[in-house]
Amino acid sequence: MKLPKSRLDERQKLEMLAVYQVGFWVLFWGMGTLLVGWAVLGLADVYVLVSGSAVFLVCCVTFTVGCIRRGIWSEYFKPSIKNNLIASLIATAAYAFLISGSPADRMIDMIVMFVVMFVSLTILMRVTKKRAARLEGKYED
Amino acid sequence: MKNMRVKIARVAADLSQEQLAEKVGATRQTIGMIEAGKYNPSLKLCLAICHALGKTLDQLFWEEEGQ
Repeated sequence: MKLPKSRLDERQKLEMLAVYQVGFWVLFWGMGTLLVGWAVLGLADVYVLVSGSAVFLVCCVTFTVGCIRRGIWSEYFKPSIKNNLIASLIATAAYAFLISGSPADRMIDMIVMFVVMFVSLTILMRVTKKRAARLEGKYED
Repeated sequence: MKNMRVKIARVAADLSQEQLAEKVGATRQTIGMIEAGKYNPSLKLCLAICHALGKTLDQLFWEEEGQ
């Protein structure tokens, strides 16, 4: 289906994008918090959790793929191993608050979380850097 | 900073903000904000305004460093 021509001019589009941006982050953190809260407190049944998580995952994948395709890593942080380590440690610390079980089980879970997070970030960082280099080369004189 | 040159050129061309907006495919509010220095238009819109008012980019938008 073809959408009708936009009625907005460039300034209005920029302002609408700013509104979308705020809306996106409110939705992202709101839904993320809700899903984690439901899962930890056992307030929702499995269908709600799975469907909610699936939508959340699609949102995350869309965002990540969109950024990588444009060679964008982060608005505030450089793509580096050091930053990946810090982000993985923060994620692991947050995860540690949410999981239960014996200390040994929790330790294994945390190690797995850290490794998965660090490896994923490092792979995505490499892909993004490669993509950025390719985009730079595309418009080289 | 206000862009009086756009406003003066528009008035000299006997155009209202509404009419200029229609010519360049923008809204009256956007033209008002450009004249009030509250919005930096894209080069594309700058050119459209210049063409509509029969002026050059230098005449309407050029600013010396530190101005």
